[in-house]
Amino acid sequence: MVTVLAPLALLLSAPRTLEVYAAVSLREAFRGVARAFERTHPGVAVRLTFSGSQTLAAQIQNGAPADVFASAAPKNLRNLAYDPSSRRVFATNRLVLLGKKDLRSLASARRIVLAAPFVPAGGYTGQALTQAGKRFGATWLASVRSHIVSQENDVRTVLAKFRLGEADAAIVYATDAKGTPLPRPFQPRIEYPVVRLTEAPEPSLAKEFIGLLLSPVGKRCLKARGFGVP
Amino acid sequence: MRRGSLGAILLAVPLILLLVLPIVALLLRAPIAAPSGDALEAVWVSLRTSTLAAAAILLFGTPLALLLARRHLPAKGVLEVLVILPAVLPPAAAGLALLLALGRRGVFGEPLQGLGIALPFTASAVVLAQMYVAAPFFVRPLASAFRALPADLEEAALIDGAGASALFWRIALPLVRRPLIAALTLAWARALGEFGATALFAGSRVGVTQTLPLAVYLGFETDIDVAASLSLLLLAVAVAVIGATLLLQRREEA
Repeated sequence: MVTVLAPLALLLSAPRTLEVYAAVSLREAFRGVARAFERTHPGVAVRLTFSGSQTLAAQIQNGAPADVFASAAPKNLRNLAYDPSSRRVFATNRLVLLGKKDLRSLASARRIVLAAPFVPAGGYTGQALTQAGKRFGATWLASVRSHIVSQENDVRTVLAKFRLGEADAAIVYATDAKGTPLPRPFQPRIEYPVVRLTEAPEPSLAKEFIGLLLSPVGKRCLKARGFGVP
Repeated sequence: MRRGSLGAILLAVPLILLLVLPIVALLLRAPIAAPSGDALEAVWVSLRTSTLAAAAILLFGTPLALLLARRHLPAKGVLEVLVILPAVLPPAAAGLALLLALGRRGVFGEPLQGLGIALPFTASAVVLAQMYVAAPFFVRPLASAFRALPADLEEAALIDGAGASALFWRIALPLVRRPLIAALTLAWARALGEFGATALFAGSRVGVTQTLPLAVYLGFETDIDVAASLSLLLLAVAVAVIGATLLLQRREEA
């Protein structure tokens, strides 16, 4: 009798895990939200996986057991199986320039490091540079492009390379580092959507997590890191 | 041992399967598409850098192997550990270490900057990273081969009046030619496949530092089909060079 009850009891009391996949720029904010969620849901462990949004999307497409996916750009949701009614934009962001005083002088930077074009931050940067090129001219844009020495896989690697002193200039999110915000006409529209995945192993927990993210508690965590909350 | 027992053969099967299945899957599923401009650039970057790295390893690694083959050498243990280390260190750690050493603010990078030499993000950085990870695959087997040369060979040559140079070029080197080519091929293959260290130290820029393995990894995140056909390309390049080397060796034996 004991040999049946004991493992059963263990199984029933086993902690449930909520798998949250989030863009790397959300790292600190989501740690706060996860802690708040665990406090109100004893017995639930939130496991956070951070990477470039495109990496996470590829992993999810290939069967990674995610419950919640928070992306830095809407386009990474393409081809993913998620519950459309769960989709919400929960945060916004801005781009900042590191290493140079203003965007125009970016053309004089000898080594510029950016996120790769298929990374959300890289896509947004591309939009910003195209807009700036219309104002500053094709020569300016060509000069900037020729000084891009590396295109990294996620925005935090861009930041790391800049901090190591390898780059003269870089463009990251305002939530990653203090820098010069790009002028308003060049700021792309940066929206972070969150969804619950169709194949989520814990769909009800996922729904509650998204609920917490959108609540004042979640908004507080996001605003504390510099995100905008719609 | 000309014939293995059935038990031995059966025990080898799991590993054979593990080695064969991924290749078969790649051949079956990867779409054969004409490589894009970026993919071709990646092929050239990879071929250029890995060949340069292999040449440098040959030039500097052969004397190192000779050194390691000597029976009495001060601090030999330290040297041997240093040579094995790149094979043990995770490539990302190696890349980071190279950055800390030779980056713009690096331990040795800062003085180099003063001389106007900046390494990160250049093709030279790719070559250096590849050299670092591939060196053990050349030096260690070659040292073994040198060590296996009969000791009285040296004495016989000296008696005949041959100097150290003749001893090396006319006697030792021809005798280790086959293991040398095999070790160089292995090191070249390792250099070609290197990804983590170059990604960190040299970065990723199409036509300059974006190697084929890096393109595969990046392609995986945007389009699996692109990544698969790039992997096929990498496989083809590797098979071509290794096959050519084996053919050369076969002809020597004949």
